Order: sequence, then C-alpha cells, then structure tokens
Amino acid sequence: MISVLVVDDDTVDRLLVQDLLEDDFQAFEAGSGDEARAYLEREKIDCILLDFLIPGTDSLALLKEFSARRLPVIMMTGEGNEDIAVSAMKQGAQDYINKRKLSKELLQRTINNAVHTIDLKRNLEAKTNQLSDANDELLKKVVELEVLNNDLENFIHIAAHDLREPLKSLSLYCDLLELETKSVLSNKGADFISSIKRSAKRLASLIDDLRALTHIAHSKSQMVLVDLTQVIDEVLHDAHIDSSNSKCVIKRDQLPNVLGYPPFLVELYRNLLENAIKYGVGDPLEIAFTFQQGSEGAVYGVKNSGSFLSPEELVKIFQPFYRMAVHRSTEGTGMGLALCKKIVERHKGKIWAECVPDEGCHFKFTLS
Amino acid sequence: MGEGPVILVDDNEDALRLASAVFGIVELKNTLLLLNSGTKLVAYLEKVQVNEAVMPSVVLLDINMPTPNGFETLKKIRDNPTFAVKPKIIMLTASNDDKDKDRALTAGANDYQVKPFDLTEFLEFAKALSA
Repeated sequence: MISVLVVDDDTVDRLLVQDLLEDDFQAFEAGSGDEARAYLEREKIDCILLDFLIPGTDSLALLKEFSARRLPVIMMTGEGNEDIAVSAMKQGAQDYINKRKLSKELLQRTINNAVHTIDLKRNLEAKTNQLSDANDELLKKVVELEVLNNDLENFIHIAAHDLREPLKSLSLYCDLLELETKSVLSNKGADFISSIKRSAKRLASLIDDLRALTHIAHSKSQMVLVDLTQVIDEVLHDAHIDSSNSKCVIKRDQLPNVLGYPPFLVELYRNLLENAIKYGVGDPLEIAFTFQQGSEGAVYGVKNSGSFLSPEELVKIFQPFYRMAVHRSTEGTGMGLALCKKIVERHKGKIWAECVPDEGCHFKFTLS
Repeated sequence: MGEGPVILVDDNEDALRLASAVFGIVELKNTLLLLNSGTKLVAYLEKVQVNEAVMPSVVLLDINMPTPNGFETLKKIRDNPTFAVKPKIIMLTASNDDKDKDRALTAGANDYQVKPFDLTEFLEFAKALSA
C-alpha cells in the first residue's frame, strides 16, 4: 500500500485529509517540517502532501528538500493560490491540489499519478545512467581501437620499408646473374630469371601500395581548394588518353572545386580510371566522369561501359588485396579500390559502386 | 669527382657486395671503400684529419642501420668541430619518404638517394657519381 505523509500545521485540515486517505493509503501526519523529517527517517514514505502555508516554515524550502530525496510532493494550496501552485511546480512539486475542493477520488488520482510519475522518472534516470555508462565504455573502446589501428598502420609502414630493401637486393642480383651468365644461360634459365624479376616487381608494387595506404591515414598535409577539372585533365594526360583515342570515349560532367588533398584526389581518380579501363568492355569503351548534386549532397563518380559486378563482389571490391576471380590474370595488386576507399574516408566521404547488367559499373563517392 | 675514394656505408653485407659488383661494371676510376658501420666511417674520417687517409670524394651513407644509424652518423660528422673539411655525403634509403628526405637535408646531407631497384637504375646512379 502506498504510504502518504500529510504535512500541515492545521490539525483539522490534517484530520480531514487523513480521513479521505485512510481507506486507500497508509497515512501519516506531521504538523511541522521537523516532524515530517522525523517521519521520513522512521518510515518508508512514498508521497508527501505538503501544505503551502505553514507559519514559521518556508514551504518552498521544504519542497526542495523533499524533492531532492526523490519523493513526489503534492502541494496543497488555498483558493486563489494558482500563482503559488505554478511556482511550486517549477520548484519540483509533482502536482498541486486545492485544499477546499478535496475529494477521495481527487486525492487517489493525484497521489497515484504522482507516485507513478516519480517511478517513471527514476526508471528513466536509471536507464539514462546505464546508457551513459555504456556510451563511456564504447568511447573507451573506440579510443583503444584507434590506438590499435594506429599501431597496426605504423607496423605496416615500417614492415613495408624493411621488406623493400632485401627485395631490391634480390632484384639486382637477378640482373647481375643475367649479365654474368648471359653467354652460358639456356633459354629456360633466362625465362626463370625473368619470372623471378617479375615476381620481385609485383612484390615491390604491393609494398608500395601498402605504404601508400598507411600514408593516406597518417599524412599531416592541409586541405586546400582543388579544381577537379584539372585533376581529371592530369589523370587523363598521364594515362595517355585524349580526344584522338578512338578505342575510348570520355564524357565529362562539369565538375566543381572541392576542399581536399590534391595528391590524394589525383590518386583517387587515377585508380578509378585505371579500373574503368581494365575492367570496362565496349568498342569504343565509354568512360564518364560524373557529378550529381542530390538531396544528400554532391556525388562524384567514374562510370564505365560493359563490366558487371555481382552484389557480393560490390561489397568485397574495396577490401585490400581483393581481385575479382575472373580477372586474376590481369596486372595489379588488388589495392587500387582499397586506396580509393581510404582516400575518400580521409575526406570524410563514402564510396560505393552501382552496376547494371549490359550497361556497366558506376563508382560513386562523396567528399565532406 | 675528386681523386678520393667512394665510400659506401651499409650494415648489410649483401648490399655491399652488390655495390661492389655494380661499380665493377661501370669501371669506377675511384677506389671503392666498403664499410659496414657508421662508427667505422667516423674512424676513417678522423684519420683523414691527421692525413693518414685520403678525403673521400663522396660518402654513400645508408640510413637504416643499427646504432649509430645513418642520421646519427651524419650528426657525429657534421657536429665534430675537429673535422676541418667535411666530406660530401649522400644518404641512401630503401624507399621514398619525404619525411626522411627533409630530415637528411636538414641534418646536413648533400643529397638523398633512393636505393636503385634494378641494374639500369643502379648503373645510372653509379655513372652519375663517377661523371
């Protein structure tokens, strides 16, 4: 049963209220703040009915004191004291009732509501605390993960550096071996040496890409305004593609200036273009540099005709070292799109691909 | 290039043998001196100061070595007040890294060179040195 403490200096009023309460609640009565405190020490009180006018006592101070104990307090006011009631509510009272209009039902409803509301508040507080704790824990994990990630990238950076040196020796000794034994080397022997050299070159490319991958995350350079049209000019020029190239048709949307890291954006478009050339199909092969201003912001892209990727492949292609099974024989380290992803993420953007059978693939990305 | 020897400092014996083979192919007219630590280089340069050894035409100094590494060795040489004449020093590294390059040049290296990957690159480098 809910226990209610009635705090009122007026004995008649107290008895009146207690009378109305006694069937439904366990009622206690106190004539002053001190008496009320004594009850709170002794009894388990669920709700307090507090008279607003107790001579010699600051009712608002009492209200604050009881509210601080997480107890629901209902103010009892006289006729025409609505202002007082409002200020009491602001100070933490759960509700107020007009002493002159008391009824059993009103008291029952008001007290039950107040106790229920306080229960809800307590629950909410507990849940909020749990959530806040969980959030703190999560933040801690994020920091730990960042440290681990950083360590891992540092490790890759150093390992890649140290791997390159013996690889250089290997490659150079192959050259020397070839040179020294040229006159006595059989064709088969020369083939074997070529194979070793090719493998060494491929390994060197892999190591370079790994270093590039960690470099993107660690670079301390500043963002500047970049003209994407110039970036694409440069990339097309390096790939030896111009308007006279009949095997490849390039379409270009008008591209804006963006805030970014210039060398990384060149690298991004270079990789996407290489990808389009390598996997695109068509005579002529159609490649488009696209730009759309949508509701979610600017979306940039590189589209090529012909190729198609399954939904499973679309997810995997941005993983380091991933190369499509059908294209295993093509040159490449399988790091190109992983680099693209890293670059786009460095710009706080997203990258994805959309493919339509018989039409081709469209690699799209956003920048912050 | 001067008359003095070309000195290569690298802790990796393979790298030293390789260099000696390549410099043999280009028929370098200077003597090639191979040292496997920075400490040995400093000792050699100390002898140069008292005319017990010939001032090298150029020192090729690998960065990635056990203590003292290339940077530490470079600092010892550049900071030594008794070295009246400083040798020309080119820092060598396995991979291109702007940070290493800046560090080498700031520390007083004359140049910075990424170790060649194939014979053509190496021969070009050796020829440029002996030109």
